[in-house]
Amino acid sequence: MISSRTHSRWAPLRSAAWFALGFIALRLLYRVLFLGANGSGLVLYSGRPIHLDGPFRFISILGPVTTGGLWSAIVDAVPFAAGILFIGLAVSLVDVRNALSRVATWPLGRGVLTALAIGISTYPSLVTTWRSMRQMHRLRRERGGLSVLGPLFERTLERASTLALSMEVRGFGRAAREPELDCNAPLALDGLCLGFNGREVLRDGTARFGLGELVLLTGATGSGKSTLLRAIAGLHQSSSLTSASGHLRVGGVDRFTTSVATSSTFIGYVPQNVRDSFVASTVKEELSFALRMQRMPAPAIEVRLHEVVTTLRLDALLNRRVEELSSGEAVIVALGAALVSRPTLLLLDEPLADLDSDQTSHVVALLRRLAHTTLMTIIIAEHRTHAFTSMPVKNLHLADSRLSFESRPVSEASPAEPRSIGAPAITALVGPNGSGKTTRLFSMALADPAGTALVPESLGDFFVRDTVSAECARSDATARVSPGTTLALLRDVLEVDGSTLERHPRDLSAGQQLALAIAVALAAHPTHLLIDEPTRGLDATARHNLMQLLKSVSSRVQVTIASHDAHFVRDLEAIPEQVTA
Amino acid sequence: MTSAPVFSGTILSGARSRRLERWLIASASTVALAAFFWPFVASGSPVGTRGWIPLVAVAIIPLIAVAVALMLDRSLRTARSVALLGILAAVGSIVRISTVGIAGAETIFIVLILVGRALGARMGFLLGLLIIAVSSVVMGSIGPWTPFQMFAAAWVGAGAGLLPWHRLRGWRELTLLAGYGLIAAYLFGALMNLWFWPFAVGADTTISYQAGSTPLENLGRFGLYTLMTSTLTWDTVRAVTTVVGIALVGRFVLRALRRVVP
Repeated sequence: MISSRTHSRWAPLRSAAWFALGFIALRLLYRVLFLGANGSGLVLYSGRPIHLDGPFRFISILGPVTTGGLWSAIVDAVPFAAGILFIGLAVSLVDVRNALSRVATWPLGRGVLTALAIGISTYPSLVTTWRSMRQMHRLRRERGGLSVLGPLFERTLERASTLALSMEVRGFGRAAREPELDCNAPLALDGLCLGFNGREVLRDGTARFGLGELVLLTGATGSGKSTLLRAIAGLHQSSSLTSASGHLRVGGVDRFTTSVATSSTFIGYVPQNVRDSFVASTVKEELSFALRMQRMPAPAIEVRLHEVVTTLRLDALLNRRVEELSSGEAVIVALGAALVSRPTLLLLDEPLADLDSDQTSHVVALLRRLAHTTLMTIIIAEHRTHAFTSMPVKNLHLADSRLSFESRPVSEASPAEPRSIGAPAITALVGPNGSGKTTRLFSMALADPAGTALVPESLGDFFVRDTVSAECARSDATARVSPGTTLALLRDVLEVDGSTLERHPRDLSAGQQLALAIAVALAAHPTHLLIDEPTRGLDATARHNLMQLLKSVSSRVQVTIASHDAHFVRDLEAIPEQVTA
Repeated sequence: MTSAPVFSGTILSGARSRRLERWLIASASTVALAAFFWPFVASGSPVGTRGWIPLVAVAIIPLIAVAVALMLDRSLRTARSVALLGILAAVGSIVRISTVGIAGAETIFIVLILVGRALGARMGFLLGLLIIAVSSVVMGSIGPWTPFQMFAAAWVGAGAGLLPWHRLRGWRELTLLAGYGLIAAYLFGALMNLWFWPFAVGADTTISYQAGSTPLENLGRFGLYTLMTSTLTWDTVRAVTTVVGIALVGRFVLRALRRVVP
């Protein structure tokens, strides 16, 4: 998401106006093409129409064009255009996305009305995604125009799917009365096996989790931490790529036969790409969505909201639109949206990757307090384990499809290598969340599109092909480098096996996606490489490899990163540059 | 894997409610189809009731459309089907609206057939209803024909979902879908002519609807009418658009749909 663009409430009207204008233009074009622009008035073009034959004999092409004909075409199109404008105005005035949570609990017509609400609220987001994709295509030196339509369709469908799952996690489709889950048995795995896309992620996993436990889940990039969390949340079952066997019990009931909506008040889940999981358009509605799904009365909702807003210090963000949030702010809001239901089990997928140091310590302290005072069981998948060093946490490690409890976090620190002397420095943009680091990187990239390569923080719109190998080949082709260059660069950072090559880039883990994007960016041999948050989702080895790679390329390429990862910035010996709002 | 999989990519749901739902769609469709065929039904019915039949046919079909939408609503249990339906309806309406005006082309068939195939008959049916409803509201072209269009489009989508050879992939699948699209385009055209034919031609031509004639006679007149006015012309364009569209975007759209929904 590009944060520099301001999202006003009139955005739908604006896009509707463009759409309406485009519609009129198309109608004019059709009229001129198919002999419909003939009429009174000044003759602008007086060619003879071409009559087709056979089954098409009622079609004539071209033919005279007159001002009267054009005018009548416009007049004809105006009612349609007005209809489109009216819808745009209605969507601007009534926030359809926010109306979702209200419609979703109606007894009759709930499904169709919700579908309609989602459909209508899609129009503006289609335009936003299209813009963002065009921008990414430009950054990647891809042709713009119609070639964006394919990825746009694919991405829109994915959005729908993510949005749907997010709605379910927060209780969409809950019956008025749902069975109570047992708060004394938050989570138990017994001989659990999980597979994703034919690959074994977990074999015979057995573990029990007690009340008030704070569990740190570690494991290499792509080892399956997210898959495990998704399985616990009940999302693993929603895809044909997945398989599971063994026992997974949540609140004393079988996860595989309990619907996501049923466990929605029991489990709070904060996914990795929180932005895609937002269901409402403003922070306040986002926070209260889960409570509305529980059909909680308005005063009670206010009380809960107040509680979350105070603990997470969200007052300043409450009336903001979710698209305007910085990545760190978005994580805090998503955490709040999960906490409003007062869950027994809280699952967090790399929550710290986007937080600045101030927010990190605040969130870590809060999690500790929640576990201690409310006996919430909290599982955190995280590479930045050092944030938890001073706390009583259980360490759960996932490696080679095996789960094991360790006495201390599996070592994530790697020795920093000394810098080669005389190499140009790496610049690191640092500053609190929302200070405009991303915006700065984007403006640097757009100022010199030929010489720079940008790896954005949100990679959803970055990839243009549907397998990793095709993506690498495409990258080689656009960069005009020998085949295999991008893949070799990727392998410098990450181990890549054959099955990974055939996967969709967006089905990779967050860390793998980042490594791929960096490889693509480097293959274009830029003079200036810009990376937004280069360490999110990377394990210690990948981090170390990336550091080596950046150091080695920094002798010929100017490198600028924006990062919250103070350790990485320090170990990279980058020159920090403070960004202030 | 050590033991048998508990599930493999399917969400459990009540088989009974599925059956009920299928029965609902089938019976509502039958009533709707009867409304389409009113010219033939009417000619066989007692003389005194004939004047009412067209009115009843035109009035009953919107009611059925609403009823079906409400009844099927219960079947939209998963948020994913709701969200997909909404977003596909939006995309389909955009496609339809931006191609209105190209001589005879009806691009929603491409969307409907591909979605019906990838997501099943139920989704195809609902999507057909919704795309026509949404795009007609946006374009302000709601009229007595809208519910008829809704049903005809819904059948096109559902039909694609009911096609056999589920394991067929690649160009063979596209050929199947294109072939279906070809037939569907002509059937759709004939159906849409059917209910409007008595109003469209007016009286006293050799292809006019005659309330007093036998159904067979009227069928002959109708056959000639639909052949002359649309089969050879508009419907052919629609069929060609559909086939070309499926050939062009089919592979990609099917893959994208199947990636999201198995």
